[in-house]
Amino acid sequence: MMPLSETGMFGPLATLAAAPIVGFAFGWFLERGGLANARKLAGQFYLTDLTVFKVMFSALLTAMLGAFWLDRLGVLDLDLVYLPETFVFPQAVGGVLFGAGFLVGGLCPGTSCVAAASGRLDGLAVIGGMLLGVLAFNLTFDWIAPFYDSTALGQVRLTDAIGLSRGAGVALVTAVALAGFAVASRLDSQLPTSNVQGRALALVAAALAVAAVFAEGSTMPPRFITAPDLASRIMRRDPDLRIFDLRTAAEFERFHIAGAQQLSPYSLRREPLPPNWTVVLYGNGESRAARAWAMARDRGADAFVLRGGVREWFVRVYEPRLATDATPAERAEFEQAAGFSRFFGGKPLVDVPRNLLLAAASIRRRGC
Amino acid sequence: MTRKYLDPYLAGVGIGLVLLAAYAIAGRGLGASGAFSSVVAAGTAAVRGTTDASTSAAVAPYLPRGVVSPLSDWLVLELLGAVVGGFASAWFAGRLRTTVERGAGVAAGTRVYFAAGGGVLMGFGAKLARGCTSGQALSGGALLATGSWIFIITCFAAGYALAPLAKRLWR
Repeated sequence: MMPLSETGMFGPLATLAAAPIVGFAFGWFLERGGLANARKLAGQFYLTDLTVFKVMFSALLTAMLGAFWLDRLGVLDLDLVYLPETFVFPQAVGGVLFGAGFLVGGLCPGTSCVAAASGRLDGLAVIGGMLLGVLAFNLTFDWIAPFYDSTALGQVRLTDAIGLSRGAGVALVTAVALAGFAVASRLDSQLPTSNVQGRALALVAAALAVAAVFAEGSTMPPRFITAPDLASRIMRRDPDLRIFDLRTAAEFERFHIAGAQQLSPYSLRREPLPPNWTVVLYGNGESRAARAWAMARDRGADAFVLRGGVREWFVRVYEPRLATDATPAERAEFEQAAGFSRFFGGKPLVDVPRNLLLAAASIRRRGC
Repeated sequence: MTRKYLDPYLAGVGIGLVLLAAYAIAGRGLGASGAFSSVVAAGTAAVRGTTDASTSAAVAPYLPRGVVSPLSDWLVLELLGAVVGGFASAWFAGRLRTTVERGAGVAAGTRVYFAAGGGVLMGFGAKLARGCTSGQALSGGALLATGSWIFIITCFAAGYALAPLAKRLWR
């Protein structure tokens, strides 16, 4: 089961050791594709060279379709792959500044490193500028912070934001990208491109995208139960409550919710689910449990999905945290959670600096 | 003799598979600007003589548990790998050359100043957007993260809108 770093197959050191290897391949393909050349990149903005668009969107399609299908086949748990958080206005303004810089600089952060590595001094200049830009941001951070943290939507997928199934979203992005490729091949038809290969790849992508719609066509949102609600039901010793942990046996061994039974989504199909039971399903996040929920509901079970999965259970029940400068409302929620935590043998943490409130809960730190 | 560039679609599929490997191994995507953040954060901490992450909210996420060596950071190692990979590819293709890529009518010095200026804008913009073309647009976009698509759209919209103004730089 993957990601290897999250399911305990790879320790921190092995994961770190993989970084330069993954990076090497990234740099190799960037340079092979011509993205170390600022003139080729800038050509994107004048429609004289569409390499950036082609490379970027075929990479995006490959990773998107690959990740979707590996998740569906049970090889990769996408709930465990870090999803960047959404901050609407900061990301829109950041995007505009970045786009302007990209146009003037002719390289982006990743490609500037590859450009510098191949001897391009303009790449080196972009790197120097980047470091200064980051420093300028850090020095003015206290002033920017309110804007930086504004319009936060959390970890939300585009498909959830507009109420589309994930399969349909994958198909939509694929359709738009393939249409873009068709336009691109017209715009620079003077260049001899490998038409046969390109068409074969497009066909594969289209087939995978269409299949994705059928694999995950339903948009029915599941019924959720929050971690504190589930905690109080367990504490009341509700005899009809059944909790199923849909993660791997190894993950279950390391940590699970008290009273839960480990079961693969597949064996859940053969599990008797009498209608008088209250069935709670959970995974690392929500998507695996949401799929199992649709199946359980079709079989007439009174089923719920644990909101936020085992991670939210960890933060809101097992190991709740109180910020140093907590508001009275946060303090009240923490008092309740601390009661849960003691019942379940966890450890409430007080006096946590606010900026580390969530950082400590997630297994590793984030960044671009 | 210089080899031709790889077909852009094939290069894209290659990068997509690398990104998929990053998801599968490390549970995260590729990145570049985050590595710059780590280096600057470590530098700032060293200058201030502190390893306490909680002293500055701006650098805290890049100094986990007070660890200040950027070499213990996934993204920094990944980007160092990318530098070596880019060097190797350029070498094998005969593209290793000390030069300044620029538009026909632009002096090398001018190009370098604009490159640095563009870098400043991108550094600041990537911090605000919490990622760049690699970490936000590509890695988040493939996971259908809402903010990543906001970034993709605004980034390219700004590039195209301002392109006429920067014409002399690239023609």
